[in-house]
Amino acid sequence: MKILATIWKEFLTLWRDPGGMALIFLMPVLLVTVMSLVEDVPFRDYRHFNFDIVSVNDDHDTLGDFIEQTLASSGSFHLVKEYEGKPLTRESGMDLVSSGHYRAFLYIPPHATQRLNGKTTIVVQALMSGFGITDRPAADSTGAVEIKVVFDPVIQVNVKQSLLYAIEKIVAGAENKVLMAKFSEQVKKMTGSNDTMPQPDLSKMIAVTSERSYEGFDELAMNSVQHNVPAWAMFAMFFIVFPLAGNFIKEREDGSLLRMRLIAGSRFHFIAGKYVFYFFVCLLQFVLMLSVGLFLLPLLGLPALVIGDKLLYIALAATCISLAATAYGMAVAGAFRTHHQALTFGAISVVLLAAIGGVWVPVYVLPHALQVASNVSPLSWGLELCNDIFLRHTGFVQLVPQMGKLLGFAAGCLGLAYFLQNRQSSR
Amino acid sequence: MAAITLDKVTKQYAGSPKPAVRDLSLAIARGEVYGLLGHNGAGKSTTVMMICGLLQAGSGAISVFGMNPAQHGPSVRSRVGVATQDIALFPSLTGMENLQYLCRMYGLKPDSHQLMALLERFGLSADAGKKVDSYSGGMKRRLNLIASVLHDPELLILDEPTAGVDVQSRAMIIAYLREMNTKGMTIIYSSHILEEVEKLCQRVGFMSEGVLIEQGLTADLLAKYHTDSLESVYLTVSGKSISI
Repeated sequence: MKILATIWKEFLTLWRDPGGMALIFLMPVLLVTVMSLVEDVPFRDYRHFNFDIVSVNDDHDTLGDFIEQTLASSGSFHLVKEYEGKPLTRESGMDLVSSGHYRAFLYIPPHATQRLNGKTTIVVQALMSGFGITDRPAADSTGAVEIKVVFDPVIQVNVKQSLLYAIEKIVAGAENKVLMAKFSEQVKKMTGSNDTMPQPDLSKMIAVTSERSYEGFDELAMNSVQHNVPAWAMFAMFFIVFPLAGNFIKEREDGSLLRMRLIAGSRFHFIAGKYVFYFFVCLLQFVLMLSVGLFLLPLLGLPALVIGDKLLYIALAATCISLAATAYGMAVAGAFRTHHQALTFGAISVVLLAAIGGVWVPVYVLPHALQVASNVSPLSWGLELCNDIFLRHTGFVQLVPQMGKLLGFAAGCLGLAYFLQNRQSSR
Repeated sequence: MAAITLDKVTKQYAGSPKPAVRDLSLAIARGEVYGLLGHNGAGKSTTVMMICGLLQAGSGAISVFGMNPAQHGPSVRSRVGVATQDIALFPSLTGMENLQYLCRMYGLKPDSHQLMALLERFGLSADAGKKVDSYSGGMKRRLNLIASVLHDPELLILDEPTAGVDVQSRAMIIAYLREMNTKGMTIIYSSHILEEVEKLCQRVGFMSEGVLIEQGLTADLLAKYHTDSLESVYLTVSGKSISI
């Protein structure tokens, strides 16, 4: 009865506080939406974005044309061949990148095809000479045919690597093609045949494929939504420290908590009611954030959040995370005497726990020391729990360690809050 | 029979160089209105907290209605109402919602008619549905007093109940306290407005630096110190030249 009365009192207090409602519900929705949209590009494979590359082909021959055509036809790149109506040169192309107008410049030097042909002829003749079919050719003293790619310094490393990988793959394909053509030419010369030899597709000789570590959902992969929705849900839930500790300390400062202590047998119910109310607020935040991932983000062109089919596990995970987040808020409220101290500490501590917990970037890309530190972040435990359920499709037994950590953290924080509140009261 | 007795009570907080209350001996009879006076930090709040069982005395004995509050805190608190100097209300709730919530916390079923009658008594019925946030200082004080008597306490402790309120609110509060006292309620009254204390309290005690430096019937003290105001008595006994 007393706990229900306190829950109702807290509900009315929050309901009548538009700023508090916005902080608890609207801001996290905006945060997860914006972050999912912003981080969508870095999470995408380079093949999924159309990237402008300034291209100057001074070769005007087979190799240069092949590279440009392959890049253009990939759908991932748009070749910029002229600027303000003027054809580009090596110098003007370079200027466009160094001035920041474009992010990458591809330069194919003159005679690249001719030089590649020369080099492949030497290679094929050297191979043939091994069998005594041709004379041994003179050693190739010229350097490699250089296809230059110049990047704007501000380009992200992963995008740069993706582009280089794509270009290297195309060039390797061109090399193979020319090599096979030369080899075919030599064989025809040797046999006197006029027949056209078939060109084998070397790219299909070895295939590297990936498989998921479990049999489950189709088309499942880590993407912006899959990372950001649970990550920012953790952040928003632990940010409950802000309204909870603020509300608690305000009521302590204005004497309401003392009044509860003066009402026989009501203090426990007052605190328990507050804890239960904010626990349900956290649960509601979690449901809201998942709903954003499931229904709102797809409307904005992002993939829908995949949560699997283990709703019971999701409910258990949400319960554990909410208990931990609310208990943390109670501990912070107990630890500080003033509103200002608690809110500053609460906000900064949650940001730090989020940073090492993999909210901004996944833990596996963090430096080793931070990866070790992430083991003490309850946000990391919650995030891992979500990934286990949503992506790894693990069984209940595998979820127990993370749930246990969260429940242990909640129990520890509540114990600390009890001790600290008593200490505050006896001052 | 005494409602409250304190016998050589001393309380020293951890880390504090001197006791907040020292060798305090006091007896307040049932039905008495006792004025507990003193400057800020004199030890009044600590004394009240010990009477309510929220703080434990370092030494000495306390009895409230025959019970040791340190051992029977909840039983003592169920018979004591405290109106603290802070407006300990919930500003987002309406006046009525505050009282309904506090009734539930006292373990009582809120009776809207009774609550409205109380609000009427204090001139707040027209504002019962308004958020406390929008109340004036005087209205908040009146509601704060109602909140401390919802469980019909036998002992009412008031700390500055009329601080910062208008004349009308002050008159209502004083009239209500007189009425409750005639019905048998014991009252401990603390205020800086000594004229009020003179009118309302049968006996007063002055605390300074944690020590009860003087106490007695109001009329006796005025006669003893050959003055017509408690303020002069206080300044004389405390040796302080500042106003309390």
